[in-house]
Order: sequence, then C-alpha cells, then structure tokens
Amino acid sequence: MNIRGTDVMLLGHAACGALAGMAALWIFVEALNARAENMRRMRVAAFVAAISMAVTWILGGYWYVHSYPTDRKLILGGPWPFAHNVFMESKEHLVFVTGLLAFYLVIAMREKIYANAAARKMVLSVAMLIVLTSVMAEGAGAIIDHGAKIALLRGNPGGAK
Amino acid sequence: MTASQNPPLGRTNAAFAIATAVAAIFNTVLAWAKDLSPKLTQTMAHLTGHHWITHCLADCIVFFGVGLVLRNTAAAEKMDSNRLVSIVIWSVILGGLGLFAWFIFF
Repeated sequence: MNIRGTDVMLLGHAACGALAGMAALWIFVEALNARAENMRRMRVAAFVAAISMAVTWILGGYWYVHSYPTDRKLILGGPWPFAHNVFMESKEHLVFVTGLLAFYLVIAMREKIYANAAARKMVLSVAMLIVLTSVMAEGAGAIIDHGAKIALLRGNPGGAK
Repeated sequence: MTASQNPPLGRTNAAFAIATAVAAIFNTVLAWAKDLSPKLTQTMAHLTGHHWITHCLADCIVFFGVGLVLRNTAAAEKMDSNRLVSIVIWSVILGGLGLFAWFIFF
C-alpha cells in the first residue's frame, strides 16, 4: 500500500466538506422545529460546520497549490478539459462562499431562533445554502477527479509527461 | 404580516448578513477580474505565494471588515429582516451563477 500525505489531504478535504454539509442539514432540520431545548445542539452543529469548512479550505488549498498543477496538466490534455476550465475554476471560488456562510451561521445561531421568526428564517436559508453549495462542490470534485482519471485511462501522452 | 411587523434581527446578525452578501458578490467580481487580468493574478500571487490564498484572505477581510464596521452602526439592524434574508439568498445565487456562467461562456 502506498498512501501519501497528499492523498490523505485530498480525501480529508472532501470528507470535511461533506461533514460541513451534513452539519448544516442537521441545523436545517432542527430549525424547522426550533425550541429552547434544541438550541445548544444546533449551536454545536454550527460550530462543527464552520470548523469543518475551515479545515476543508486548509486541506483543499494546500492540495490545490502544491499537487493540483499535475492533475490540471493531465485534465487539460485529456478528453474532458472542461473538468478544469469550468468545474475547478467555479469550485475553487464557490467554496469561499460556502465557508463564509458557515462562519455566518455561527453568528446567526447566537439569536434565540425559537422566539424570533426572522432569525429562524435566516438560519434555515443559510443552512440550506451551505447544503446546496457543498453538494455542488462535492459534485464538481467528482467531475474534476473523473477528468484526470479518463485522461490517464484513454491515453494522454502530452499530459502524462 | 407586513414588512414593518417583522421582528428585527440582532445588530451583529444583521451586520454579518450584509457582510456575507457583499463578500459573495465581491468573491465573484474578484474571480472575473483575475481571469481578465493576468497582471492582477500575478500581483495577488506575489502577496502570499498563490493567487488563491490571497483571494481567500481578501474574501475573509471583506466579510469580517464589512461585518464589524456595520455592527458599529444601526444601518443593517434597521433593515427589514425579510429583505435581509432575500439579500443573502440572492447574493449567493447570483454570485454562484456568475462564476459558473463566466467559466462556461468566457
């Protein structure tokens, strides 16, 4: 078995992004029935989402800066150049918004959302935006990964060098 | 319930709602600017070692900067809460679509 630090970093990046999305989904479901009793649980979930997104940025950023140039070369020389040109270019910027939404969710969760309908609506909206953007990022990640994979499988002399 | 009857968001909550919206749009505009100007990308890369890291820091500075400035004023707090929710939702949707459309068509 040959597992490198960069492999762990890439998979950790995807796992933390999924965890942030799941924590946000948890908050969305709990906020539909917000009560004083479940506020603490929602606040913990908001912290989990924010910390997971920060870790996702750090792991993904390190991998993007240090390891991705090789994949980019492969993808651009392969049959799916749009995996980089559209999906990576969009994803690498969209995840900033997901992270900022997760940071904001911690702030929004400071309100007693069971007693304030507007604050509850804001939490529901922000949590759902985190879920949707993190699912988009995971999907884009899969397309980028597949772009590199088929570049290798279908032969790519230029990129493979 | 009319707009004037909507309960207000707290000052910090309202301030950072606006900051999130501003940062989401700023993020997209900066991505467009980097794509249009290799010189800007190069300058940003010089600042931290990589343009992506500078972009991330710039978004965070805008988010926390706008949020902290607005927290010290009553401007965001006075806004209708339903309007604030709409502003956050639409800024994220438009920012996201702006990124995706840009990299498809340009």
